[in-house]
Amino acid sequence: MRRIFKAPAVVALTSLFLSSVAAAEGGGHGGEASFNPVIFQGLNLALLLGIIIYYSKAPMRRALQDRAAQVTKDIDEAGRLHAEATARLNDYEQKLAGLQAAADELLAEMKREGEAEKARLIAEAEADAERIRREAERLAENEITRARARLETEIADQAIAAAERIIREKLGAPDHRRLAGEYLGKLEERA
Amino acid sequence: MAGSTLSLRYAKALLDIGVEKKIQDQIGRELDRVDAVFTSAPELTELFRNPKFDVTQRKAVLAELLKRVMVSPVTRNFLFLITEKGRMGYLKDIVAAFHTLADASSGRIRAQVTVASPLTEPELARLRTVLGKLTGLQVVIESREDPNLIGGVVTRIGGKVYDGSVRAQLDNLQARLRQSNP
Repeated sequence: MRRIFKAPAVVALTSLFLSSVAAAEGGGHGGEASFNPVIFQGLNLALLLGIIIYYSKAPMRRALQDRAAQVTKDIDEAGRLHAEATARLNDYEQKLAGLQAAADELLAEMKREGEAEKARLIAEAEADAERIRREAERLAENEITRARARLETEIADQAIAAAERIIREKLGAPDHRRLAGEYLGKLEERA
Repeated sequence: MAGSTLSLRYAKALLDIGVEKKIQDQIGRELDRVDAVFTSAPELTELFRNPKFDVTQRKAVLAELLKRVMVSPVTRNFLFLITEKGRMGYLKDIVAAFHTLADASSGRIRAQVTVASPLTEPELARLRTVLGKLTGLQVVIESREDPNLIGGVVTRIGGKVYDGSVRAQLDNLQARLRQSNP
């Protein structure tokens, strides 16, 4: 790149030199031209162009090559990005296609779980109902048993009270003597 | 417990004097008579328990009482002593302890016989004899009536109870009926 900037300076210096040579020659011969000025300027231009071409050819080529390489690289990068985007697009399309299936599967799974939970809750409720029913039956049976026992105890107490009343009414002096005799007889058996 | 220990101590002291003077049986009978008076007159017992009446007043009442219930000087002195000590409220316990100690010292035992209808003399004699055979001691029968027995006899002697009452039979029957209906 430095050479590219040097080339114009060389061309300018050469051109200046040739111009000064031409001026000196013109001034030395008193206006009599030994070269045709048009030819001289043509040569001067050709020389200038030649110098320019000579010094700027390599940098230009390298710049063009670099530019071509950059363009190629950009094209490759664009191709890679395109391929990547295409792949990603395909991936998303596949995922999108799979998403529906996953959603369907999830829905089906949730439905199955819901059915299972429903069945479990029903079974649990039935078990609870059965347990409550048995407990109620047991309590009822216990209550019946207690009530029966109370009733039978009451009947027994009433029977005893009735027996006591009758005995008191019927027990006379001979009975007292008989009871005392039996009592003494039992004590005598022990003695 | 403190009351029974105290009663036992007073009873033993009195019995010792009675044995020394050979009048322990007489003292026992005198104590029974005095105790019967107090049992029949609860207001008298109250007078000896109420702190409103002082010792002098109590002694005056006791002196009047002993004019009607004749007792030996030993018993009289003893009754004044426990009045002075404020122990007249323990009289019943002291009398019971005295009899127990006196019976034990003379080879006797007391039987509390409860009846619905009074026993005849032959029945009492028969009972005394059979209880004597059972205990090997001379039996003194203390009889009382309790209509609640309905019929029959209950004897308590030496920590044992011989229950031949109709009440006990009915109670047993009632218990069996209740047990058969748990």
